[in-house]
Amino acid sequence: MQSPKIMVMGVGNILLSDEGLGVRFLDELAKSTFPDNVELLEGGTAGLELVHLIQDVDFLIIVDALNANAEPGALFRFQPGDLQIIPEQYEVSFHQIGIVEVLTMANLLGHAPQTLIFGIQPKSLEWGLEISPEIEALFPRLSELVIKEIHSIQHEGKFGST
Amino acid sequence: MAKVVIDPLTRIEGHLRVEVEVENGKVVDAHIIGTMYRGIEAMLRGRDPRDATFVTERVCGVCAGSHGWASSLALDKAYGANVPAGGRLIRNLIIGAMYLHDHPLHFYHLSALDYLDVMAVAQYQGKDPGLLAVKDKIVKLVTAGDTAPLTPRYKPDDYSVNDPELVTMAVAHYLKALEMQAKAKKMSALFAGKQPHQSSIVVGGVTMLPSIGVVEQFRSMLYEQLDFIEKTYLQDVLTFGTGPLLPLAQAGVGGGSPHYLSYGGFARDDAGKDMFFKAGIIMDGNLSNIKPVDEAKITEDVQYSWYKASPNGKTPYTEDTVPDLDKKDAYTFVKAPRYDGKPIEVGPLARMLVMQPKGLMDIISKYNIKPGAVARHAARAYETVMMAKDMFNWLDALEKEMGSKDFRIHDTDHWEAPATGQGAGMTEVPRGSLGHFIKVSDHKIENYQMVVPTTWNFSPRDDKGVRGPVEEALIGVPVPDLENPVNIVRVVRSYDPCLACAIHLIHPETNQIKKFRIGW
Repeated sequence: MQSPKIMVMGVGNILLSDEGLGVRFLDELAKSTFPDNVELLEGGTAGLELVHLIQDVDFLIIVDALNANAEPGALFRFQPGDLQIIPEQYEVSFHQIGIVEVLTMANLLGHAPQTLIFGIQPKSLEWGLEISPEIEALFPRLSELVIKEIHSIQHEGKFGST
Repeated sequence: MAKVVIDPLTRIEGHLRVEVEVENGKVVDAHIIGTMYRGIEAMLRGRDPRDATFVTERVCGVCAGSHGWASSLALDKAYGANVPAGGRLIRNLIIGAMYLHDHPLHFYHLSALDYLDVMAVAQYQGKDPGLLAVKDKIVKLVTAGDTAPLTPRYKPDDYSVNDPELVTMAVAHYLKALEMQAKAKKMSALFAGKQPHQSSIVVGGVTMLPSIGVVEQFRSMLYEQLDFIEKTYLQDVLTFGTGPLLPLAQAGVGGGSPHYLSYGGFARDDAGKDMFFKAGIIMDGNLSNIKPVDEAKITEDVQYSWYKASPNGKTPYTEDTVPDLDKKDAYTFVKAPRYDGKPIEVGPLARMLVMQPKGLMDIISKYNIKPGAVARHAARAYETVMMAKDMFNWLDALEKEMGSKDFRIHDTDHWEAPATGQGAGMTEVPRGSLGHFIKVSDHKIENYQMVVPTTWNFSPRDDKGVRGPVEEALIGVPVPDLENPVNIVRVVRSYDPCLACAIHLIHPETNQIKKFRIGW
């Protein structure tokens, strides 16, 4: 079997402290080595531009800040189908096109990868390049979880069953 | 797991708010409010002038490259640099490709949903396999309750297009445009190193020497773009503009100030005499009297802006940008640029009215279309076709240059900052006339000012109390349903503002502010 193309994408705005946790997490993840079929991508604050970057990806793992009204550091793992977007809250904006909209677009174009999202409730969204220490402290554990998913894809051809 | 909603949190470049007052179903007053202060100009003071190119590019991730280009044009003058033909042509091609990216994206992805009743797709009865596939996908999304990206924020109204055939075609093209805009951006990156935020354009020319293979790759991609822009994008705009949207077009909804400006841009010769976009000023809607542009007539008022009045005058070389948040009567962070004291519209409609290409003017007169939201879309599409066609000539010229013995892309003799100097980089970028103004002293930036297209169009009242162009364009716009101010959105978006936006409606009877948030 041909190796599936796997991408880990960190998204967020690194100028707003924990909002950028997905991007900052990639630094932690990059300490490990990966086979050639795994790509780490800084999604940053790009919107529609991401669509063509995920078109030939088979498995996509996204790490992002998530507002679930939970305590800071709360971790969520879910697939896009678990979510519902309320149309009235959707903003037609080049900058506010969220990652879920990007996936819907990719799906419309017929190329949406199988996707798993790790979301963390941020502590601070204030201006600043620093990430809250208690959020950063979660990165090694999150790194283990992401690597476990990559193993599962490599060996079972699907995300883990957690 | 329980269902959760992902909030994209704060990932916006800037903010724009529109406040209008409605009486008897029509807008009677409007305030355009820029809610964010960036401080980029202040940040540049005291820095190496060459930093300006890369710092100002970070103004925005959408109009990437535009500010780097204008900044380098200003620095070219301040440094006395002579950009060689190779550098000039590569700059033109980088920014030209950005037009091919920006304009269709604006139409299909940022504007079209304001005019379409997307759910009409479900009623499509035709036999076109491509369109049936679109119908199938949309119906699946609707069933799954996941239509967010395609659902307009406002309800369809009397002007909305609901013919299933037309709507399905538009949605199919919306998807095709997604692919084409990614390719156009790649074209730009071929010559610019990367996008967004190109890294090739600098004072004196460009830094990246293309191979003939890259030039040919660019050319073959340009053929594909032209095909899409001419046969799909322009055709769609004309089909809608002269079809279901003709009443809006003929009523001139969103007309605004009858004064138009183009600085001219994209030099086709080294002397800068032959420009692709022509320079000119139109006053009071008089299309038969195109006047030359006089840089000295540009001033910026701040009576209604949260800035202190500049002690050294109002011209871009002399003014400063010092915030004053407690200023009485001020309501925006946008200054009020004026030309000869008048509010001026810039952008595709202004450029096309200055140039008056026969094909477009024939359509305008045949259908009796007036300046307004629909005309702006038509002008934008038409100039994109003109641009794509002319880019082939620029590629030919570049290849010819590449074959010559003294082919150069950069004036390396003028790389170090002069002790003193000043210069204006005034050019045309997708959203309109862009000016960067630099004053150098002691080899450093003494003063830097940007007068950007969105500042011209979205300016507040000036010192005389005269409204800015978009404020004026909103007066009289029909709002039959206060809960559904879709016409306001259509007018505001037709200017292609590079800002996020929220609209407040003041209900005249109760004075209750109804808040409608929209974004770009």
